[in-house]
Amino acid sequence: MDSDQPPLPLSKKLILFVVLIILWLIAQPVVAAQQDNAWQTLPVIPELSEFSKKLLQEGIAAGNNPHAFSKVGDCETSTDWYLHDFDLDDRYYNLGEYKEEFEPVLAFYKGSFLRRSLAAKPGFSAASVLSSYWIDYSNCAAGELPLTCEYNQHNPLVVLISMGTNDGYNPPVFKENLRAIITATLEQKRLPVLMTKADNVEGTYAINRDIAALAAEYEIPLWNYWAAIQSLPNGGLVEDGIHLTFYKNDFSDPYAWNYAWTYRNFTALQMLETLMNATKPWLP
Amino acid sequence: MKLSKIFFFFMLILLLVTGCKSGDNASDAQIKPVESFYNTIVSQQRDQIGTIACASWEKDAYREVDAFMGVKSEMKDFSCTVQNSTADAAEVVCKGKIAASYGNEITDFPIENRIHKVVKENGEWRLCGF
Repeated sequence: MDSDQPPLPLSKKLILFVVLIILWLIAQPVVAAQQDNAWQTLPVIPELSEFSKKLLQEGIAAGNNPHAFSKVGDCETSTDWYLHDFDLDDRYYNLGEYKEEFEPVLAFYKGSFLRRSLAAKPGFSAASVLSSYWIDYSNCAAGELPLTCEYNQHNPLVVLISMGTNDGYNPPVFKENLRAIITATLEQKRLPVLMTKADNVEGTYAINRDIAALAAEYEIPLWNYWAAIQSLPNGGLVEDGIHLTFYKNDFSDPYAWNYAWTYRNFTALQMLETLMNATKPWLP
Repeated sequence: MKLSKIFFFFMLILLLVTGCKSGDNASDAQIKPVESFYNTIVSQQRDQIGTIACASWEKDAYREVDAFMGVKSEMKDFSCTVQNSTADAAEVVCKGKIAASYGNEITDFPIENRIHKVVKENGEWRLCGF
């Protein structure tokens, strides 16, 4: 049947070939953009990889405190709005319908929520965490870095890393500095958890893309906070396009779910719950 | 006789003056990369690091400069002197501080306890750590 059809003339074949090439060229940027933005569809709270679970086990064996987590980041991390209240009594928060779910998390990590991290400070870029200048001179020894000083003093098994806004000035250097933070953390058998940031100060999402790429490369958890707040007005950001909209920690108040800080702390507790459940089997 | 004495003293003074001047030039050259490093932090012109840091410390130097990119900073009461030096290496100490501000928060970074190592690399003095 096919052999009965006359072959296409050469000129038509050529035209068909050129059309296919043009279609392929048009499709390339679209495919690339879809691949670039794939991180946006990743879940807010990930399943832990086998590598991550094994690291928790090895970290406990190495003497890291399974009940301690550290916060690493900038002003949105050093602020008391970030998890701090959950080490206070329940006048400071209301877990609402999540009380049963989260109370064990608060008990498990008690003391880490209100801890003032030595590796979190307003203005911090990823490089600042690794800078000998930025240590807390009253708490850290000469030669330490903010990151190592925090680890030496708090000895956490897991580390919540929320960085990138202050790297918006120069996104290309961010990835290597975050990589250095990750490797320094892994070397000490502590599990780094990377959070995507809410803003897009760099204009291209390059930083969140790098955060997601590094999480995948090292098989460490990606806490996709960005995805959690996209349905909020202005993406959960105040007028400056950087800082998160604030509301008190009252998960029973429907109004609270219009604000980015509610999601920040809520998803942080979800992330910690996942980590706690993966840690418990390895406890002595 | 008197004239030769005058000539001798004149030459001696000239020698001392040029000797001192030469020493000053050497220490100025050794201090320069340290001063340039701090000026780079303040001006946030990270591309300058290529002409300031030695090859083995360049990556760290970029990181230290990048660490201040999120804040506004200035040098306060800043001056440096050479503490020890050889033909190819020197130690430079400085007085003063970096005053960095972020919003309303001001943080001071003292630099007095740092011994800045400078080395001669390809004929140029470069900062090589502290």
